[in-house]
Amino acid sequence: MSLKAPFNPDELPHHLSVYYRRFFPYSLFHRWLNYGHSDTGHFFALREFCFTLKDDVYLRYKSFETQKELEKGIQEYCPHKIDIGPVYSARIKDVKLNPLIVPVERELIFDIDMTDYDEVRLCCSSANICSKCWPLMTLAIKVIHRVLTEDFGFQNILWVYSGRRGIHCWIADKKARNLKSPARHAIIEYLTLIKAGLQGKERRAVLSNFDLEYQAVSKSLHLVRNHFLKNLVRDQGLMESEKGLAKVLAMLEDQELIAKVRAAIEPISGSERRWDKLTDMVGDYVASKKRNQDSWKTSNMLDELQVMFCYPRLDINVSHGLNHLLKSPFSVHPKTGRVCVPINPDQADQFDPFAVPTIDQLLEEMSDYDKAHPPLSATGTGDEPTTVPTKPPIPDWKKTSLKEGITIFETFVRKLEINWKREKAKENIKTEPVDTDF
Amino acid sequence: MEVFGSAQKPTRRQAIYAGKKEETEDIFTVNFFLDPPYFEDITLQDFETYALERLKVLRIFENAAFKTTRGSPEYHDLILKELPKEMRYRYVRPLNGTAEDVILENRRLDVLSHFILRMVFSRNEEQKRWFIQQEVDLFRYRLSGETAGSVGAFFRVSNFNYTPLPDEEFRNIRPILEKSTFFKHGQISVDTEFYKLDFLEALAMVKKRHVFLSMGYAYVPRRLLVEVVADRFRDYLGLEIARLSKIILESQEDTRLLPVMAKLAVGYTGKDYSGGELDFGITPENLDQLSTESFPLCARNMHEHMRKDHHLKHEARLQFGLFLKGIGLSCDDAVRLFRQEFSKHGISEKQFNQGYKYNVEHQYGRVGRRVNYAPPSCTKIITTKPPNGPLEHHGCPFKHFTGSLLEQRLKTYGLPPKDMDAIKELAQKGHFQGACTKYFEFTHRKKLTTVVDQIQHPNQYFEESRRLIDPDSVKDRPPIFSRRRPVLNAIKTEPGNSQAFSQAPPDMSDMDTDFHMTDAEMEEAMRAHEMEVDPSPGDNVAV
Ligand code: SF4
Ligand SMILES: [Zn+2]
Ligand SMILES: [Zn+2]
Repeated sequence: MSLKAPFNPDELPHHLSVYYRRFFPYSLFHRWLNYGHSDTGHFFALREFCFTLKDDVYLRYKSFETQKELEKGIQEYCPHKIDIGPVYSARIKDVKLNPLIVPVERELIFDIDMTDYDEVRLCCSSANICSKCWPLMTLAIKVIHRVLTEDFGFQNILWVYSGRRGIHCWIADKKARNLKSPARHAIIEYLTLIKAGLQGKERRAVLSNFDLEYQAVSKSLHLVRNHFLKNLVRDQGLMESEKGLAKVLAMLEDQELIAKVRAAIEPISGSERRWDKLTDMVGDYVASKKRNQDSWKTSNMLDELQVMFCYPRLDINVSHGLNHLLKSPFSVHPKTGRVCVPINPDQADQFDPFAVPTIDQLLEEMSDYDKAHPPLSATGTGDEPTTVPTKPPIPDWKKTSLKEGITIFETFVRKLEINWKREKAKENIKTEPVDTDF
Repeated sequence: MEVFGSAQKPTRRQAIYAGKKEETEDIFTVNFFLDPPYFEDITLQDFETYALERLKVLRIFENAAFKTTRGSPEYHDLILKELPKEMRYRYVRPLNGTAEDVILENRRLDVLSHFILRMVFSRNEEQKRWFIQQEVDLFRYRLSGETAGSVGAFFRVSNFNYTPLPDEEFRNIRPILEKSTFFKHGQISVDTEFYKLDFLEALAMVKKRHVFLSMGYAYVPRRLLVEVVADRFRDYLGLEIARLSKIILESQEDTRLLPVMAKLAVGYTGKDYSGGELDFGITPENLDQLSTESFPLCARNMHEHMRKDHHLKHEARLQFGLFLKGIGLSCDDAVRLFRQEFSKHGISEKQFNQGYKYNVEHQYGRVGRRVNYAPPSCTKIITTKPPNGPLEHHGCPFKHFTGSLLEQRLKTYGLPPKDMDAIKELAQKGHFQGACTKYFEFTHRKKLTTVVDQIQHPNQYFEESRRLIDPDSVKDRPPIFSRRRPVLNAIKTEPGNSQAFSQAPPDMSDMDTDFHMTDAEMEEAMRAHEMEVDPSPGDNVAV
């Protein structure tokens, strides 16, 4: 990926207007959020959108009857950011929300933000990310995706890069969309290993012996241990960086043990060899406490430490209820100019946030392509390049590195569509005998 | 009784047996109460008797849950110990070989009493919550007592689609199930019967990762399935009661039932403390000391306000006056006490004699209808008539104080912060009597030898406190008033009086400036605190 077109915030409004006319995948987008309802069903119209305009002006409670209307709305306002809200019980319109209109349906969503890892990151802090900490997100995708598919049986999951320092997850199965708040809460708890501390105490991971055996946790721990060893101990030299070592030791909590380990480790060179030494010593320590009443506090401290360093940290407020807004896929991050592109969870390792195209880059790629492939006739540059009936020109996104993201998105939508068809077929079979009863 | 809709009278067989199999192992006691009862003509008297019996059972469950942990061996033992035998056979498990008609009759009473209480307790939120909690506990207790056979039968009848995992599937995933199914410490037996449920049905266990989860299904052992079904019962009962309270609100019929139901709903099935059974050696002089030592928070609050403000509003005078009567303060002493205090508030001798004195004497049954009124129970105090504004001091501090006021008060009374937090937490969660009981525990810690029963009555609080602090001062006294009789007897024996029961409970919201109340008004006001009309001459005896 070339970096020839760095993001230029001043150009954003102008670039966005081109982006929304020529790149944004309206058709797929509408196919997705309409969830197989007939066009006369007005289902799509019940969905809330929120546009963020220049200078953080929010337009909440926007709704659109059709794909056409949505296109018009987006192109007219040219929002710096698009958020998607829930499906409401009735159509909402610009005005302040009528209290009788309530959210009735909403994808199960997760928001994972690198800032939540600040206490354990060695390389960056707050909104910054680098290639050393990004694998935390990769691990989050792997752990959560496995739980969602294998344990909960969800099939229609879209992972999206948030454009700057995190990832979002949309679970769009019918069952997921209809979850009530307690069920969402239960799923989050099921996924949670790091608990917020009580009253001002720091967050902690607490693992019981049962947890370790419990299938879902043991599978997650397997991923966590691998990540910890490879990414932190080896690649980042965790045990040799003063900052890292301090963080690790602090988690041992027992001052005597900390002093002993520190003294034993410091003469050793090599991060991994230091880690091995620490593992041995903590192992002995745990064994010595085994008889104690409160042995549960220490017995799994090594795993707890690793969990603290890399297990996924969810922003639970986002997932809890039905009415939280979440940035739309293919929105553009106003601070970085990067497009919120989908991520293929099966190839999460290959995803590189720094290779995600910025809006400037897309425009450049398109004009490069067009220069290299001069049009034979003058079609396809009008208002609706993708819907010209005769001799369809190649859509603009295909000329750019947006292609990959759109392909993932399309696969997601297609799979949803297959599921609807199957469900409809099943429903027809089910309802038949009842019909003949009357 | 049309509120439940009408039900067909079931045949004997349908009523007893679940399915085709008619083996005794398949007879189950647990009931989801899906169908309303077939109401034969039941008399008001039966109505009350059934209700009271079930109420007693529910109280036992409440008390057990309070003293022990639900589901623990101690919990089970306590319930078995407390439930009288006949009730145990009726509500928990019939004796082997019980005759068919006995089982049938038991089930009839079970259903009837459940639906009667449903109606009784659907009238305010607090009562609803209490009732649902106890019924769910009873339900869970019964369900976990069923056998593999009877549980299956119960599921079939109640249309629950729960079938155990087929053997082969079980064998295949057994190693995983063994590792991924949670056992409490001490539970050793390995589950052999698993049910495959949509994870949405087992949220409580999914949340804690206590059951194995795969492809959206939770693998729930029977021991935990009980929880799932109990949760369903809770939801179902909640919905039904919400529906019911709407119907009752809208329907005007059967007004004869209203006073009976109101009484049952706040019903306290223990002693009524109408006064005089025990002698604690109370005089107006030692009241201050007793207040600090042994009054529950509600009484102490009113007492202190009386001393400080030299006045109490109507509801507080009623609540506090009856409390004092219950702990054995004589009528004359009570008059003296109030006269002395109220005079400092600028109430003239004449004013006092015309109004307040009459009120006090009325409470003691000396004048007017000569009824011996019983002091209100905690439930009654908690669920009716919240104090209105800062000048009213009746009610229950755990329920009616703001968090900060409660905290400040407890601090003044010298509670350490740790105890205070424990109490505040209970109160915040709505366990007002639990909070009161904790308060009792903390303030009597040095003397306590056993776990205390949950406080049900301010006068019970006082009595237990005295027994701990100064056992020698507690003496029996020959009863002056006869003990409680069901209110319906009064209807039967005094036909002229039934008029009183055909009216809704009086609204007493605007009755503070009341010292010129007429006799009739007075009785209206008292009716809420009524116990019985005692026709015997005994009520005239001076205390
Ligand atoms: S729980 Fe009962 S005894 Fe305790 S303060 Fe409240 S009303 Fe009084
Ligand atoms: Zn985010
Ligand atoms: Zn970094």
